[in-house]
Amino acid sequence: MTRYALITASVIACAFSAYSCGDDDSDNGSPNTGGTSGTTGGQGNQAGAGGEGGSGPTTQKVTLQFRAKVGDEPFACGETYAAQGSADTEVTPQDFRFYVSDVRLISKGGDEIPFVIDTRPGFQAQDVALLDFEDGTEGCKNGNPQLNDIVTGTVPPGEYEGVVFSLSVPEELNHENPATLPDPLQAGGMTWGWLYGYKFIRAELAATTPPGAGVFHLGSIGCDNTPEGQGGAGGEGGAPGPNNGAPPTTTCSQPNRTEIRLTSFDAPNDVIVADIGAMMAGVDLSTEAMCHGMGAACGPLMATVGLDEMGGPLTTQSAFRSEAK
Amino acid sequence: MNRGPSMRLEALRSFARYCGVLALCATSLGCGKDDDPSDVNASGGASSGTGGRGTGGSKEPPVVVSPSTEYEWELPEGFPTPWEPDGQLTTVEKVSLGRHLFYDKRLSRNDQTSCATCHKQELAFTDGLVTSVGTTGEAHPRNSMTLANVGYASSLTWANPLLVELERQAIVPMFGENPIELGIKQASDLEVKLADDATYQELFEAAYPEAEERGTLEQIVEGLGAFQRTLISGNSPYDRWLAGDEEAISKAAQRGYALFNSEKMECFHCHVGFNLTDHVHFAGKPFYDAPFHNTGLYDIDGKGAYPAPNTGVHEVTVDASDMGRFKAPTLRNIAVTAPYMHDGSIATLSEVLDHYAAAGRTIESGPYAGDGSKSPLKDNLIIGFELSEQERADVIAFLESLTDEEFLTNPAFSDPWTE
Repeated sequence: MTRYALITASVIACAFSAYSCGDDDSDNGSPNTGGTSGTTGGQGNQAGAGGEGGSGPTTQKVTLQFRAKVGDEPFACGETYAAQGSADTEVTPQDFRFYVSDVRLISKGGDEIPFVIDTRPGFQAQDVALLDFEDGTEGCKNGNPQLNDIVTGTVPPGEYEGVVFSLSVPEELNHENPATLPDPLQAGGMTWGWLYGYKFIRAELAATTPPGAGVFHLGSIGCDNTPEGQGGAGGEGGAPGPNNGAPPTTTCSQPNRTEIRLTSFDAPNDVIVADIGAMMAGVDLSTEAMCHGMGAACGPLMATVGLDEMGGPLTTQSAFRSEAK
Repeated sequence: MNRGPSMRLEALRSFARYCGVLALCATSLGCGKDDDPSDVNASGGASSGTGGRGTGGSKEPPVVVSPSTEYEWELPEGFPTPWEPDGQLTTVEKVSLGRHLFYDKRLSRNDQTSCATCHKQELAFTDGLVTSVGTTGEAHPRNSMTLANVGYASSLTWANPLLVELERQAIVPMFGENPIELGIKQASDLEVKLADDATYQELFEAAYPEAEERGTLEQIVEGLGAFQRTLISGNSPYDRWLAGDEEAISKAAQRGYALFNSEKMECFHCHVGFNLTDHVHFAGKPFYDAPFHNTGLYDIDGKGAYPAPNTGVHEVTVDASDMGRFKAPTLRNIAVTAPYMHDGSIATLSEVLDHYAAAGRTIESGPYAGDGSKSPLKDNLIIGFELSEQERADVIAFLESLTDEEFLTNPAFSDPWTE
């Protein structure tokens, strides 16, 4: 619970010094800012298993392996977890899904190299991936049987030692009609219909003794399509009427797109741990700790993924870490 | 300056007609009212003479790809053509598909509810409840809105400027979870459920003769949008009176009409035009706008706050100045859509008049206590007024004259599964 959050508080301060700290034992996952050394522990420098083969491949395939946990226990619907949240509440999962986009691997030289997400029916399309750890059973009754814990893609051949990704659906897709998009963007549990977008993160734990739950739905909020000239924040360029073109364009005052940076991550040997226990560490799970874009619980929940409650970036996050496979 | 209602009546009627004519300029004229636009079989026999091509030897019936039939709007006098989003030409076949979907309980997670559960035709497509209940029993925070003339709404639901197209709005009740309405978990669940149904196979084929895939969520929401766009109500006694039938509404209703449109009451600023609302869009309208108003229904903190989650446009935009701003709904069929307001918190039309007469509602005690009339966020046209008992009865008689019995009983809008 809080212990893990503290131990694993991942520091993003080294955003531009993409050096790892030289400590490859990432059981607690997180680099700290201290590392300025140019050397790393150097395990598994070659990111990704199995290149394209043949001579002079221009890309190499990489699989990013994710793992959902509650603290240091595996996440599974139907399981119970003791002493979660700020009031040490026993909980069981309700949901755990999130989108990943704009993935980059960090090269040994510290450059961020774009990772092109494959198209993989159901889980990856249009350079967006859905990580899905609920299987629709037990308390996860709003979910579905499909599970996904990997993101597959390609990067240029090279040596990489870290990963950066956005926990979001890109803005250019976020307001599209989900009925017209392929999975994982098709309408469903991650659609935020009334807010005209998607839930980027959907993390839910329920107290085994009701009531009480932690519900963390993060996505773009404060969206408006009223042109600025008419008192709103949206509708760039005068917003033609729906029958004279597109509906008014939508812009959001609080996009809530956060970036997770793991400076010591080696794809063949490490996993990206998504810790829903750490996410919920700061809220009282014996109460209805809700964050649907807005709500009192948003502050402590959003902080764990590197956002303040107004959607501004923080220098730390605690929900994601790198661990050895 | 003491002009009585009757003195202004004729001018007002002229004004209403003038508005109608203006709007009509933008329309393509509708045709007769005698055909059922949502006849399932509309496409079936269209080109039957060409049967047999290319299917030799098969025992299956010949494949005839019938072109879709453009829907012919049957527009009441003064009504413009509804706007259709890009690519959403309303066809007879899509309307029929949508009508079947609208009344189909398979559109819910547990096959218990359909769109029509909360939108009943005899109540002008509302449900008569204070606030609606979803398919799993979860309470909805808001009152079911009428779907009369919903295709003319600038934006949909009570206070969501983002929901402009019916095809997008349908996603909310189908997939929304806070609260659960129809409770569908994912698109494929619904697509699979409908895929083997012979009726739907026909309906989708008729509506999408050229499509590679049929029965997709995209086609489902298009059908729902098309059907809802045809839910046009414009044949009330009031309309017949406007058109020149002096006997269509009572003298009381006529006096009420004049009061409604008076500077004393100011109702007509927001409830204006052919749909008695300022929140309209239609084909050819030269600009798009979607006004919302705070009417002083609540002020729970002295700063204009409405009780969550019903904070109006603010709930979507998170803009403090949008607190309590809601759409002025159409007043058509208002006598059959009680209770009133976004949260159903006013039971009768007379009490609605009390709210506006007081320039905002005062709640004496409880968690929502406050004097809405003092709200700093209140629209400045909510100025309050005094009505005699006679005047009150007159205004209510006018509002009752907006009930369109033809709309409430039109078989084209009824449940096709019981035919």
